[in-house]
Formats: sequence, structure tokens, C-alpha cells
Amino acid sequence: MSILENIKMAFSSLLAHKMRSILTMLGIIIGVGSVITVVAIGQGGEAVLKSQFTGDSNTIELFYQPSDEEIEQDSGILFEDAFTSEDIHLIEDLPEVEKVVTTSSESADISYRRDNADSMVMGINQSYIDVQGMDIDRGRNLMASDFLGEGRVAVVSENVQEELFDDKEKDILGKIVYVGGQPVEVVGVMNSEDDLFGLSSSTFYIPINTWQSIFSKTSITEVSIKANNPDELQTAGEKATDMLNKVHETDEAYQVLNMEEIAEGIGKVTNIMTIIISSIAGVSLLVGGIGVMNIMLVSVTERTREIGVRMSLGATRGQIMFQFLIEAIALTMIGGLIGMGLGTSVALIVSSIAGWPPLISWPVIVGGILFSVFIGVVFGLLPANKASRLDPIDSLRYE
Amino acid sequence: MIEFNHVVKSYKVAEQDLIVLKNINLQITKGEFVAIMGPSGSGKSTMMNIIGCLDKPTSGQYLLNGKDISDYEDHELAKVRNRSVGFVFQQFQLLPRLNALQNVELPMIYAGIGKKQRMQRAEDALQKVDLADRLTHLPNEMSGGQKQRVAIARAIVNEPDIILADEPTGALDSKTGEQIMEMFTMLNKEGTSVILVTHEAEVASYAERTIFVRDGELTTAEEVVDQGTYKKLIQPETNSETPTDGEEEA
Repeated sequence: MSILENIKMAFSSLLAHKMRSILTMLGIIIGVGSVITVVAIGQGGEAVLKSQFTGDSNTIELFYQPSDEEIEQDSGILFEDAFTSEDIHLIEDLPEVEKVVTTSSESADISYRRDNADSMVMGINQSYIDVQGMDIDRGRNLMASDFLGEGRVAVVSENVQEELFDDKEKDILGKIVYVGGQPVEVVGVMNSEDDLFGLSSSTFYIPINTWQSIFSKTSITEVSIKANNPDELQTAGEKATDMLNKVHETDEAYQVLNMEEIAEGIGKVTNIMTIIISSIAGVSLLVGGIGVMNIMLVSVTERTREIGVRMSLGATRGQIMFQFLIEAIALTMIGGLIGMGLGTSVALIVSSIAGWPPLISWPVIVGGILFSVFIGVVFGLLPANKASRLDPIDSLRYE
Repeated sequence: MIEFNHVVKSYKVAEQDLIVLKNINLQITKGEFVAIMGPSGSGKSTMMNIIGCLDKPTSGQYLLNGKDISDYEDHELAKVRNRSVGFVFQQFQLLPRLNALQNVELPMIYAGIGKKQRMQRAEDALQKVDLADRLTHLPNEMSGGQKQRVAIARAIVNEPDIILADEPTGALDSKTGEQIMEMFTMLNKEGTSVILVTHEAEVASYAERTIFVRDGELTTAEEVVDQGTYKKLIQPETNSETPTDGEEEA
């Protein structure tokens, strides 16, 4: 008797009790569906979190963190003066380094006529534009001439408009705004960012020279490096910090902010979450499996006569066992497939609402279906075994 | 073809041995039409179960086609049932969700015969029992007589050596019962051995030979049936009331 024959038989007997079959599958459907949903959402969220933290510009950030002893020796250490223009030139000269992105930031009072607001003012260099890019909605980006000539121009984030103007209709583009008491022309407005946390504050981007002259400071707050070869990013960062530590005669004060570690950390957290929720879903699968076993036991009892007839017609105990096992597996596998469809759709809907990349994980889908088959085998064995051990004579007489 | 040598069958019931068959010796040759008669609890059903390889003797020898099947394993017995025995039951025992054709196909599925050949042979078998126009009918769409004919088609489809019929007319009216019995006679004429288990003398009268069982032993007709039914047995044409010596044993 072929497997195909068995499968056909299993389906016809499942179809004979549609409602019961569907209800029995429900536990498996929910279990598999939720595992797939949770993992897909978890992975999508993780990818978004990682890109939010690390960006996709393929850069590595340097930071200054003097040791406790160094702070003790020189209590006047200024963190914001950690990087000088000379430092930047030195880093730029390293062979592995393609570009050095610098930003200096200062919170400042912004005013236009009678309206004023607090805003972050970022002094950026040309490389910042080259590497990070700027998503300009209207107006223009900062240009090379602005950087060379200490241009009094600014690109602003979308929300500056709302914060500065009571009248939302007015366009900030082209207006002269006072930043830290000095006039700056708004030449460009950025697109509002898709921000996961909605924390983006209103920001002015102005050329670094302009920034230094407005705030009378030379400090550079943030430095990141883009390497010629993305694989050498870590090496380039380490070389730069080694050099800075040497130049500034510090021990380990200049360090590389390792994004890989941060990304790994995020991965760990989301993994733990995924495992926790998946195990809850796993419990649902287990309960679903017990439901399958229960219904299969009922089915064996109901079909005692059928089993007797089949045995009298020449079915071996093995064939009877196989028939019921296939039936249990068919139940859980169909449940698994429906659960997969359901889980995938829910994951797609959630990711499209949240604006995340839809990350349907094939290993999880295949694993989920295989696991539901496994559950069918495990929880089908007992009923199938019971069916195969029936006595044909008693079974034929069973009422 | 069938040979019982000192066959004993006993069951353990509440720590006690209940002997159902006591030292039975019996021979049935190929092509015979035999009826096994006996009252309720006589052991005739147990005899049938052993002949049909659904049960094994506790001791003694059961030779089927010269082979001692007393110590066959379960799966070997299943094979014998599949190839050599065709069962016909009082309650038809058709699978309710399968149509006539599919019911007749069942024994061939277990014999490992391919779908095409199965269909063909099932159709032929149903044609033989005059049901060529009922191929796709479900059991509950058929009369008792039609159901029993499907069961007969199912019994003969693997071309067994023996047809074992257990009270085949028990659930049918007398006219339909006669038709069924005539069908067995026809099959027997074609060479298949037919073994009938019944407590109705009228049914047994179709057989060439009647074996009487009482209290687990073979016996003579006089001891089994009362005088009235015995008369009817030897003179089937005289009509008298149906025997009342019991229903199917538990």
C-alpha cells in the first residue's frame, strides 16, 4: 500500500469531519503562526534598530574618553576640545582613510522676527555631506563654496519650520534667521526623517567654519571615519586612535566606537525577546499537539469497526498504525501550513504599518512546518498504536 | 484444504479458562459448500474466526492449503486473510464513507495492486453481483440486499480460496436472503469454497454439507436443532416458522 494511498485516505477522513479537523488544527495554526510572526517582527525590528544606531553610511566613530587618572591629573580636561583641526588633517592623511566626517554641535537660540526657539546647531564639514548625504526636500544643499567661504547659510530639519513659526503656512526657505545672534540664510529644508523614536529635534546644519565663527569655538565634537575599503574600517579607526593617543600623549583616551558591538548587543536583546515569545508560542504548539492526540484517540474509538473491517480485509497492524499516524501528521502539517500563511501575512501587515523591512525568515518557516510534522508524529503515535493493537474480532462487533 | 487437528480454543475469563472449542477435528475440501450450524454460544463463530485467520487456536493444528498457520505472526495472518479468505458479515461491514467501488477496492489496496487494475477488477466484481449500475453509490444509498452484494463483491475481488459468510442473510428479508444465497451457490459452482455460519436451517440447506457444533464440539444434527427445524433441514421445501434458537452470540 503506497504512501500516496495513505495520504489520500487521511485527507478523505479529515474532510469527513471538517469542523472537528479545523478546530483540532487551531492550536497548531496559532502556535506556528505566532512563532513565524514573532520571529519576523523581531528580525525586522532588529534590522531597523541596527540601522538607526549604526546608520548605513559605513563609517566608524571615534570618541574621547580619558581614564580616571588622567582626569585626576588634569581636572581641566575639556571633552569638547578633544579633536582639533590638526587632528582631523592628520587622520585624513592616513592611507586607509577616505574621508573624515566631523560635526560640532551646540544648542543655541534661534530667532526670526519675533518668534524664537531653541535648536541644535551642527557645524559640519564637506565630508559630512559626501558621506551621510542630506535628504533635501526643497531648496539646495550646502555647497563646496559655502564650506570654503564661511557661508552664512543653513540647511534645516523639517520641524524647525513648526517650532519657529506660529503660522504654519509660512515657508522658512529663503528667510534670514538669527542663530546665536548672527544672521544666517536658510537655503534648504530637509525631508522629515523616518525616525523610529520620534526623538529628532529641530536642527540647523551650517558649515563648520561658520559654526566656529558664530560660537567662537574651535572644538570638534564628533569624528567618524570612512575607509577606502569597507573591510579596513576597523583598522583605519584603530590607526587613527593610536595616532591621536600618541599626539596627545594620552594612554587610551581616544577610542573607536565599535558599532559591531552595539549591533551585536541589539541582536542579543532582540534574540532573547524572540526566544521568550517563541517559547510561549511553542507551548501553544504543545497544547495543540495534545489536542490532536485527543481527537485522534476519539477518532480511533469511533472507527473501531472500520479498523476491524480493514484488518479482516488484510490490513496489517503496521498499515493501520501508519494510516492513523499519517492522519495525525496531515492534521498538524495542514495546521502548520495555514499557520505559516497566517503568520507571514500578519508579519507583512505589521512591518508595512511600522515601515520596517519585511523580514520573513525562511529557516523559521521551514522549521515551523517541520516542527508541526514532528508534533504530528509524536502525538499521533499513541492513538495510532492504540488503533493497531485492536483485536479484529472485537472491533468487528463494536457498536 | 482446511484441516483442524485437535483444535482447542480457550479464553481466560476472570482467572478461569473458558473452553470454547474442545478438540475439534474437521476437514473441508476445496470447492465444498459447507454450513456450520449451532446454537448461540456453541463456538461456531470462534470456529469461523479461526478458519478466517482472525484468531489462532490455543492448541492443536489448523492447516490451510497444507500450511500450519497456528504459529503465524500477525502480519502473516493479515496476508492470508487478504489473499485466501473473503469475509461476508451479517451487518455487511461496508465503510460508510466509501462508495461501492471504493469499498470493493479495499482488499486490493492492501494487496498492493495498482489503481488502474483495482478499478477494473472492482468493476468486474460488482458486475458479477449485478451492481454495475451502483458503482458510485454510498452504502446508505443502497438497500440491505445491495449492500450485501457489495460485500460479496469485496469478498471475491482478490479471488480467495474460501468465502466465509457469517449469518449473511441475518439482516435481510427472506426474499433478499434467497437471492444472496443463490449468489453463494453460483460462486461455489465456479470453484470457490463457501463456508457459511448460521443458525438458520433454511440457510444451511443451501450447503452441500452441514457441520453441527454444540458446546464446542462437533455433533449430530439431532442434538443441535429441535425436531421441527431438523425436519425442515432435511426437507427444505416444507415451510415452518423460523427457528428461534438464539441470536448472534456475544
